[in-house]
Amino acid sequence: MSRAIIHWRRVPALAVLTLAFAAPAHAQQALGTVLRACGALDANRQLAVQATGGAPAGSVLVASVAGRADVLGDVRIVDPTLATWDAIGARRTRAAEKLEVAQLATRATATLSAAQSYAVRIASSVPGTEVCFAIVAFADVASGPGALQSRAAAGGTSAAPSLTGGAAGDGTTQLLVAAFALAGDPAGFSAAQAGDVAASTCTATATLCLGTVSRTDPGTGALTLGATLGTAVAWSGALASLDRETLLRDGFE
Amino acid sequence: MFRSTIGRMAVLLCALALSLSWSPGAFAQATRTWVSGVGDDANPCSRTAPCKTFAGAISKTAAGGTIDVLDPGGFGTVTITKSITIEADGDYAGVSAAGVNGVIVSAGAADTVTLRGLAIDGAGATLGVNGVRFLAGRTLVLDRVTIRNFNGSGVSFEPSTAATLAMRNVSISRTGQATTTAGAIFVAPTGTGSAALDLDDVHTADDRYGLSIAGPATGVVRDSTIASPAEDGIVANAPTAAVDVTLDGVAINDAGTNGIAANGANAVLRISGCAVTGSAQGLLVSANGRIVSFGDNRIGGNVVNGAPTQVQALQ
Repeated sequence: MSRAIIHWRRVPALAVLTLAFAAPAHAQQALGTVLRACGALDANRQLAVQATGGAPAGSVLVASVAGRADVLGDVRIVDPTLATWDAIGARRTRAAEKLEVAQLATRATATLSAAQSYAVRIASSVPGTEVCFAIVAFADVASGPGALQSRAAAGGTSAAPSLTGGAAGDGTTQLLVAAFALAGDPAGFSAAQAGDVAASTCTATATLCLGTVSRTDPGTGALTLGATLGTAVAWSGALASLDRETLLRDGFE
Repeated sequence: MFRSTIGRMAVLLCALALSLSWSPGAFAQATRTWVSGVGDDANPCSRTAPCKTFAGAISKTAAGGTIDVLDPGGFGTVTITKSITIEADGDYAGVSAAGVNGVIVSAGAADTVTLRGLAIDGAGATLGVNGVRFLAGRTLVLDRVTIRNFNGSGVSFEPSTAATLAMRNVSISRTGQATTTAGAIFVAPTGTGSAALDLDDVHTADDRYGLSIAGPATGVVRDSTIASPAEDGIVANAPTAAVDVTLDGVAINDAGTNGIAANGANAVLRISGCAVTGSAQGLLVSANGRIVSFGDNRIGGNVVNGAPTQVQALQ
């Protein structure tokens, strides 16, 4: 009798385990693009963008901002929940291209939906400055300073911009995200490695583009992320990694 | 008979001359020697008969002694293996180091090396390797030194035992030109070595990194500026060996990557009275590093400003 009771008490735990085995399909994945746009800063030195996609509460949002201004400083992201965004990485190229790129991340504390308003504010810049702005949502990765790591920042002129973290994955890394600011139309932007997710957007005159590449579950190999362009352009990029959300879930993958 | 006597006398004179010429070099190194732009390394390096180069003078200078610069000139690269002071008080004392290291210090574990008033320049068809490369010794003091134009670092501090790097009134520019792991000041102890840093009134411009510190290292950087490093202004890399360095009154502007970065679980940078502006990222904490702010810093105008991991009240 007592054994039977214990047995039935185990059922919920077994159910959790079963769910955990089923979970990998949803773990550490790119949930989709929240927004991706380019435009000029308005009189308030901000670019307001309406989201084209949503994100569930608890997901991690990674924002990328690119510009070519003389001064691009004090970048802030304003989202519908007024969350605090942590800076992950940035790169400034002082050559003639004046390419600047920044990455920030936060955790969505509420469900976010399409058509909500976001803005990037750049206090040090001047109205009319063109910037590109993208936010991508990811599931089951941790946020916060301890989990966000700037892996690399570099620049150059190439049709194959690439960033290497300099260290092999440590087994806790679940997401690699790279942002590339491009000083011109790349005539195509795709991930250098199969399986990575890549997308880009350009200003109307294509004098500035922002490309992002991400890889979930990168394992323990070398942390390199790159893109393949249709033509060589000057680029400036930053690579960040985010740690896994829970060890328990990953233990069943 | 006559010829034989002359021959014997000649042999005796030669022997006497040889013994006289050997004895000063072997047993009578001076505690103070001199170099001059018009000197000669065949001289004894005295005040009235100075040598031409530091390398020529150092073998005639006793451990713990001083090589003084008499007048302006270029005095060549040098490798130092003992306690020594090389100083130029007011006169230009150049060390041209195109394609090579300017000064290499590989001294004893208790030795102190002081370089004062030197201008170390790696300009040339091939830039210099490092301005000053410290491999072994107890203390390296750089006072009123300028270092510029190196593919490697301005000061590459790589002690193999516990050692101190003290810098006062030092200017470094255009270093790390061809080496990605180099910059104005690169601190990277080897083996069981460790570094204690005491940097005051140090100014760097247009280097790959301003100050890069690997552990074990402790110390303080005070009243200094770092302008336009292509990568980080000040970075502590401490995934294993600890770095705990205080930055007091340090201004960093226009860093291509991060103004101040603490990378690794054992990296601690404590900042007070610092200004970080115009950089890609002002403060970066990565891989569980720590930036402890005393709440009196000015971090603004960077593409993204970043934030310290903790704010500690002034006491």
